Amino acid sequence: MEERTFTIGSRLAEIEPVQEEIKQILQTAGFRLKQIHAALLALGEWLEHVVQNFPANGSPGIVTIELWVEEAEVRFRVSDDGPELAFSDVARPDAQVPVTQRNIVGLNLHLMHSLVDQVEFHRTDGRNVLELVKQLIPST
Amino acid sequence: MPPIVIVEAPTRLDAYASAEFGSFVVSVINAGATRIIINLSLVGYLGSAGVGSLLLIAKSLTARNGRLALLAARPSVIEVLRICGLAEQFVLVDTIDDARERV
Repeated sequence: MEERTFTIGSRLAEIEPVQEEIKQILQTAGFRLKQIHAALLALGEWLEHVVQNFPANGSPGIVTIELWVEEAEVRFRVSDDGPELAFSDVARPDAQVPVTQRNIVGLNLHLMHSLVDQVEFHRTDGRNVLELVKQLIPST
Repeated sequence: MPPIVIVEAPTRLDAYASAEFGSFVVSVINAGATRIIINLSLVGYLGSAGVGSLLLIAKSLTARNGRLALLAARPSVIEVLRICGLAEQFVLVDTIDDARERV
């Protein structure tokens, strides 16, 4: 099992580099690219949600990403010291609603839930904490 | 027939890049374009913010009786649209000739 911890500032520009670093780790571990992409997209959706939750005019916040890579799964724990996040049940988009009437509110959380196998959110010691689990199949 | 405008989407449509991309395409629409093809062939990362930009573009075009086609989307991009319930709503095409016929 491999464990890593990453720390980024609350800026959107800092998300892609950490995703790339994690991608390298998961590719080295031999997982399929399609599943890696899904895991990183779910992580990215939450990181964007967190970063955009910090006050725009405040001092930059700190977001910590812990990674555990096991034989057939990857786990992320993302924690931040930003304002408390709302984490309600996510409504499934209605595919029958025309594009012109679509609302994007909640689409990020819906996407995140759809891409991973397990999502848990809690507020602990004044921090938002999200845990994501994605089952992965080795490519060989 | 009005001219067709082809827009190349960036490799990554996340919250960082998609706002600028969406605003650019909407400015093209506001300048009078009504037939738009967005080439998604380079897009390897489509997040919800990118989906939001595509919706914004589609709504802007619809308001002007325009048409939009999404060209050469990768399977990972189509999968995101499917999860968002939009794969059937957008015009997805594989070739530029098909795109020209659909806009």
